[in-house]
Amino acid sequence: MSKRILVVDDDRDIRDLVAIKLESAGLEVETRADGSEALQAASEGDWSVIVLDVMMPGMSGIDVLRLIRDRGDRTPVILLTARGQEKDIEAGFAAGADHYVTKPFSPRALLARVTAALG
Amino acid sequence: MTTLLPPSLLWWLLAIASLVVVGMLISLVTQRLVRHRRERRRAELDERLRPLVLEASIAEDDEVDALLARVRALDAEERAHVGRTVSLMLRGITGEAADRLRAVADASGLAPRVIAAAHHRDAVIRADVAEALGLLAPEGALALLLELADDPSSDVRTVAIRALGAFDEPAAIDRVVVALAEGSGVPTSVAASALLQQGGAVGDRVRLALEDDDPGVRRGAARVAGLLQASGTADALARLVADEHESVRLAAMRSLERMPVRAAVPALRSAALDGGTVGEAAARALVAMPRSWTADALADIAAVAQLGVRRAAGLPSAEARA
Repeated sequence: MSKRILVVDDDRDIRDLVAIKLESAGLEVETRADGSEALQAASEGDWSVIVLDVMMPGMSGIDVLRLIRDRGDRTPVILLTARGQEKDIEAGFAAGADHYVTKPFSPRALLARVTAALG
Repeated sequence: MTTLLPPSLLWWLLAIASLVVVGMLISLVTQRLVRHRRERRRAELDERLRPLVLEASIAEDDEVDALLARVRALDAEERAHVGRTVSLMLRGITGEAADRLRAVADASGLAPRVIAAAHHRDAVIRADVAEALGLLAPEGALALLLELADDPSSDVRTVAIRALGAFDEPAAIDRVVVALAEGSGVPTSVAASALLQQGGAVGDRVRLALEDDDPGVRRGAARVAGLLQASGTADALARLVADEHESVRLAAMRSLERMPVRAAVPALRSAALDGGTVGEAAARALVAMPRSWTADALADIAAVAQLGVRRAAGLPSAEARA
C-alpha cells in the first residue's frame, strides 16, 4: 500500500516544494493550507505521516497537533518551525510531535526525516 | 444680501465638475482593468512556469542543463516571472533544492537585475535587493551587502544584516557583530539570528565581542554565546555576570542557564543575594547548573535572599521551612 503524507503549510511555495520532493520519492502526497483544513483531513484520511507547519494564521500547527492527539490519533507528526523558535519546539514536543525541522530547510533533509518516520 | 453667480458661470462650473468626476471614474476603471489584466497575466505565467521551477528544484544532475536551457529560452517577461517565483521559494528552503533554484535564478538573469538595483533611490527596493542578495548569493553579493549594511535607512540595514547570515566569511561575521551595538538601528534579535545562521565560524568572534567596549555588543554577544553554546566563551561569560551594565548582566545570566559555567557560581551567588531582577535571573541560572556546584550558594540564598529570589530559585520561604 502506498504511503500517504499530509503536508500542511499556509505558504504555497513551501507546500508545493515539499509535495513535489516527496512525490519524487514515490510517496502519495496531499496538501492543505490551514489548520482547520488540516484537522478535517487528519480525521478523514489514513495518513502515514503528517508534515505540519507551526506558524499558520488562525489555528496554529501546535493547536492542530494537540487536537489530533486528543482524539487518540498517533500518526507521526513532523513540525516545520522557524529557526530560533525554541519555544515552538518545546510546545510541539509537549503536544505530541515526533520530530521537527527548522525553516528554511532542505527538502532532501525533510524527505529523510519523513522516510525515517515511516519506519 | 447674497449675490448670486451669473447662470452662465454656474453652468460652466457644473460642466467642469461633471468632467472631473467622469475623468476620475474613467481613471479608476482603467486602473482596475490594468490591475486585473496584470494579475491575469501573472496567473497565466505562474500556471505555465511554476511547474518548470518546481521541476528544477528536484532535478537530477543530468536533467539540470536541459531545464536551465528552457529557462534561458524564455522571453524577458517570462524570465522576470521565473526570477520572482524563485526568489519567493528560496525564502523557505536550503540545501540542494535551493542550489538548483539559484541556478534557475541565474539562468533567468535575475542576479544582474538585482545587482543593478542595489543603489536605487527607493529604500524599499534596496531592502528587497539586500534580501535577494542573501538568497541568491551571486558573485559580489557580500561586498554589496556590506555596503547596504551601512545604508542610511535602518530598514535596509536590518535586512542586509539578516542577509549576511548566509555568509560565513570573516568580513560578514565582523559586520554582524558590529550590528549588535546599541544605536546600530538593527534589532539585536536580527543580528543574533544572523550570527546563529553563520554557524561554527562565529565562536571566536563572539568570544572577542564578549569583551567589546560597547555594552550593546557585549549584551548581544552574551545572548548569542548561550544560544550557540560557543566553545571558549565560558570564562568571558562568567565575567559578564559582574558587568557594569544591567542588561549585559541579565543577558549573561540567561545564557548561563543554557550553558553552565562553574566559574560563574560565586558571582551569581553574590548577585542573587543583592536581590532585584538581576538577583532573580542569577538564581535561575544557579538552579540550572549541577547541584554539586551550587549547593552552598543555594543554601545561602534560601537563608537570606529576598523572597523573589528564593522563588526564582524554587526554594521554600523561611516561613514554609519553619
